[in-house]
Amino acid sequence: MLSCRRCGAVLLQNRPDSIPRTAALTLGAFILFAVVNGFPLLILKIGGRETSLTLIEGALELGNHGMWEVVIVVLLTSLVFPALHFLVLLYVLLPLTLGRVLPGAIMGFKMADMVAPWGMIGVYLLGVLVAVVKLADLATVVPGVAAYALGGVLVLGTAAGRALNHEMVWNRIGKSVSCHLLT
Amino acid sequence: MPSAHLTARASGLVRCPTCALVSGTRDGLLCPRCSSSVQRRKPDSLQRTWALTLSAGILYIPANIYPIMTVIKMGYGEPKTIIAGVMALIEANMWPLALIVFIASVIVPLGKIIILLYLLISVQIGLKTHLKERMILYRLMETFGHWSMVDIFLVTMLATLVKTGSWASIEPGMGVTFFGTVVILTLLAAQAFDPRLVWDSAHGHL
Ligand SMILES: [Zn+2]
Repeated sequence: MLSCRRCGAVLLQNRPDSIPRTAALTLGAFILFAVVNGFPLLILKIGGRETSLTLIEGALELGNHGMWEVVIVVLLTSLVFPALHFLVLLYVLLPLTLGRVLPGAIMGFKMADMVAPWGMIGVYLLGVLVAVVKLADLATVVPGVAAYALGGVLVLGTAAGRALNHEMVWNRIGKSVSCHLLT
Repeated sequence: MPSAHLTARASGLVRCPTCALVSGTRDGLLCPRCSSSVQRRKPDSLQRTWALTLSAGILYIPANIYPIMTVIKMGYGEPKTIIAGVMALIEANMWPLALIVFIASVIVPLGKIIILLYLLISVQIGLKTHLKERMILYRLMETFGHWSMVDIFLVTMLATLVKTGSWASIEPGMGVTFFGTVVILTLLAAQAFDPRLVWDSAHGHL
């Protein structure tokens, strides 16, 4: 492990099998994320009636109140950016496990880094938990299949992020550099 | 304590902001490995960070004054601000959750604005102490900054589940838009700030 001598930030960390491991974890996260979008996230029971919401329904509701800018922010951070992050990572990493580099891999990998800080699945899950507690005195609210799947996405996505070795990927997909000072 | 480490800048080298390749590329040219524009420092970092931080600070006031939602039960509406949401959790004796939500919705956004102001001012006056501490603050801010979004997600979920026409309804309030804007602005401000300016200013070449 190599860290900055001045401020202590980790600069480089070598892990064996980084690329296939990251690819497998990202694929798992992506599949689970598809499950999240097809199932209810929260189910509210009152009397004999049940109301449920999915991730997308939850985001769109504020549009009915004219708050489209909030709808866009929620959709981007809870759905579009996490999905895009997994997709572009898969586009770069899956072919790399076979030793191939697809066109646009450099752009894709840059994009994955750019959208990563804007994906907020963990924060969204905390919101689900708070919603369950807040509504407890009004009605029975239980987390749906999608809530558990979202937990899985968070775990796999975090593990993928830890397994990813940027330097190794850049060395494979970037233009070859003759004088390489860091490694 | 500014020390005598050899830095990339002093050796005429630059670290690519995208792929981290350290090369002899001249400022403003493209990285030989990933073709990103390579700049020694983020351009106009201080001006952009100041503008974003001040905007966030101003909007923080309406974000806390306006209700983020109104709970309507039997025709009677109860507007709730961000703080009221935390208080309700405390009253319900949900201490651990109340603490997490208090940190996410009050400490984090306010803390971020204060840290950004401290970093900006300390860089501009060329403060020579607490360099490492300031880097820790910067990294804390990067790590926890997005947790304030929890209130926005919460309101969207509650408003969808508890809709008009049923036994009660929850309506989103103006505070959501203001608070969301504050969170986004502080995230952008943290991204705009170049932490290397802390060391540059301590060495007198900002
Ligand atoms: Zn580069």
